[in-house]
Amino acid sequence: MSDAQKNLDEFLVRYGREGVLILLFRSLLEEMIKGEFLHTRNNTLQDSPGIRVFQNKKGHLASSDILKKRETEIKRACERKAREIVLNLKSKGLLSDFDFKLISDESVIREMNHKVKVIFEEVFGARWGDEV
Amino acid sequence: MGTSSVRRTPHHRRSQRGGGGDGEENQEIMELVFDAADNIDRIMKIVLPLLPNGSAKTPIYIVGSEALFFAYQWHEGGFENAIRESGRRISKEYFIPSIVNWSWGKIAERIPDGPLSGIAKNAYTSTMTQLLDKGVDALVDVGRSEKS
Repeated sequence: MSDAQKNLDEFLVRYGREGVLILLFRSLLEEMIKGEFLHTRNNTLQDSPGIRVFQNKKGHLASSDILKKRETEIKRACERKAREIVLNLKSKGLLSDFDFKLISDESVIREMNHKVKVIFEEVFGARWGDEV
Repeated sequence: MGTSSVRRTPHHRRSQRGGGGDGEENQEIMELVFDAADNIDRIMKIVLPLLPNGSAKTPIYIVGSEALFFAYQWHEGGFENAIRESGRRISKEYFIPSIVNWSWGKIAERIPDGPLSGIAKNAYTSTMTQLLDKGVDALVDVGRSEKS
């Protein structure tokens, strides 16, 4: 447990609230991406960008070494996007709104939902929920 | 002479592929250029329009707030006291996953059901586990991670 305490303390001293949110948004993006990867893999959509992650040159499943290397690249790329999202939140003065005391306020939740949605749309150049 | 030029051709081809005799996997890496950032952009352009709108987005905001609360509560006040008070006896081996799952259990009741709930749960537990397990090494994009 002392290791966990030390790790937590060092992380927060070095990266602060921004670091925690970068880590969280990176994890969210990885989950969203993985979901799409699994979807394309199960449906073998050859022209989908997701399918390339699993393919080798012959269009077969790539080796585990290559998949592992790509996973690291994806994590790094997701972290860059997550940082972009968090810097966007910061520039709009929204970092302090991620506050435990505010999450019971429905109007704050609605407002934050909308602002987070707009930032995702700006960062990825696509409309959230356009096809739902 | 003729024989040696025949032998040189495959060697040259292998070098272009980044070979060095490391086999097919090396060739795979060289022949299929994989751009993670480009793939993520393209995939998110597919995923984002499919995500639910309205209150289904709430888990993202709640887990962000909860993750910060949990991390700073522990950082500033220590967690040993909380564990002792709740009578939990958690072995060191299972400490991090146990405590992360325990904290998620406290959060879950505030998370509305929906397609993003599962994603939010995985993101929360992954974030907190990496934060507690890896500390400053949790962020991998070295050089860009310094707190501004």
